[in-house]
Amino acid sequence: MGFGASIKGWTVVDGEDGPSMCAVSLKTAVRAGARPQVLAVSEQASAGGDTDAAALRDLMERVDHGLPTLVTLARTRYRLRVMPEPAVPQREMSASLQWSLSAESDGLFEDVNLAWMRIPTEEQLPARPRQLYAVMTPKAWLTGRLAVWRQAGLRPKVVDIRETALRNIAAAHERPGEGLALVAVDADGVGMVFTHQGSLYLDRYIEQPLAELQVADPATRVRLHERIALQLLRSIDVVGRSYPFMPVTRVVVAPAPEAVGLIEFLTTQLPLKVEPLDLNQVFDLTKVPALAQSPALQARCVVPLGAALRSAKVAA
Amino acid sequence: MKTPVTHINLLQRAAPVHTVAWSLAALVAATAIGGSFYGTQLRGRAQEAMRQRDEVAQQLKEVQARMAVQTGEQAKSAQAIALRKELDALQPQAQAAQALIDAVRRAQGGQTDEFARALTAMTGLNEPGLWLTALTVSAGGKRLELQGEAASGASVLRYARRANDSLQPLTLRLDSLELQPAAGATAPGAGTGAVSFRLY
Repeated sequence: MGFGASIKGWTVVDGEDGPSMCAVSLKTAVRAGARPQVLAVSEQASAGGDTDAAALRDLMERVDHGLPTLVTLARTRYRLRVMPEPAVPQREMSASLQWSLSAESDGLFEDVNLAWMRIPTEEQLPARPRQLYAVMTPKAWLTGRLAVWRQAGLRPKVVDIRETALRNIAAAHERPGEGLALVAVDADGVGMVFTHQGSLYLDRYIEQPLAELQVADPATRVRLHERIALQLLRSIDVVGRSYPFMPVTRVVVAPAPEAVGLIEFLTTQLPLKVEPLDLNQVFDLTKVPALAQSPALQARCVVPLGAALRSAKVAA
Repeated sequence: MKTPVTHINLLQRAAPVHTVAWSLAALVAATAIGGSFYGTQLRGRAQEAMRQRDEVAQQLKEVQARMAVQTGEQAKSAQAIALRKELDALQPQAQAAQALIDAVRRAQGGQTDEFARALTAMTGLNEPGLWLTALTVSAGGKRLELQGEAASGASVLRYARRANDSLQPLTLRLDSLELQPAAGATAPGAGTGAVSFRLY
């Protein structure tokens, strides 16, 4: 599913059908030991809807056209499921998964584009039944979006999801042997991914509109923060029991669009180390000072930046 | 050992179905191209073979025509040779006939009727290798004398027997024969056995 080492980088577009679009160009082909270099960042307000090709065209004019294009879908445009891995050859995996999904959902998943990735436990837990992540998006919708993207001059080679983008960021921060939790706040909620050796083992998403946090009184805000912290602790507990080989000892919190005090709350309340995500540790931001200086822009671009790491070899 | 990280791409189509379809399409296309190419080569070879066949047939016709011409010429040549041989063979008889004509001229003062009858009887005879040099009718047509040369004595004897058969209606008969070796081999084909004779 990858594109190998011949890819020099990516231009990633995120939220192209939402109120705010963001595009980044990342050069991943850098000398050994160097960080991938962010070449351009652009954010574009959009009227929303599925046909705002003009805004998308404007956005693309401000990033690198020479790099292959990747699009990350909004969370509402796909479904991510953990499933038992069918005992079939790899070439038959997609068909088998599709068959399993259609059998259990009465045809709901018949007309979807499907991709999958393993949850690797065969080395550490060889007796455990294997599982994988299956990702689905409606084929008809994606076909329609491809037409709109072509109209805007956008011809993506890859359509990716947010969880793997966050996984790539977390993987770049991992230390050998540890399990890492990455928490990212966006306008609609709080996403969490738990990774080990670069692979995604668990994901959670708490629907919590940022607007509610912003306007909440202190008591309500504490209650909302406790809800997030509780979910995080439960997830860490699940990881500890399901994957004992990857103890989660750190939580990394990505920049938030607004200062809502989440990282401060988690730092004081959780019994493990909580750190802010420093994009400078992963990316060379010298060409994009606006990104380096704006936590809000970083919060908006953390998903496309993570998606652009798909062909990069990075080490924290 | 670190497991390779898998990346997601939802743009992937139903690869196995398309792979099979494209493979089949490629196979069909390759078969069609190959068949077309092979067919073209086959047609080319067939056309070349037909052209060579026509050329060989044309060459055969030409050779047959030349052979027919040569056969005709050979036939003409063979016919000419045969005619020449026949002429050579008739030459002694022509000489004999000339001798008879001369003899007739010399005998114009004698009995013409008897001489004519005797001459008619003699001209009906033909003995290969024998020719007459003189024919004399005397005694009022009662006596006939023939002189000539022959390749052998046997031919003279055969001629004498046949002459008597012819002269029988004229009440003439040649009873005497004188043979002697020929002085010169005047007769064509005369060998060492050539003789001159006198029949009377």
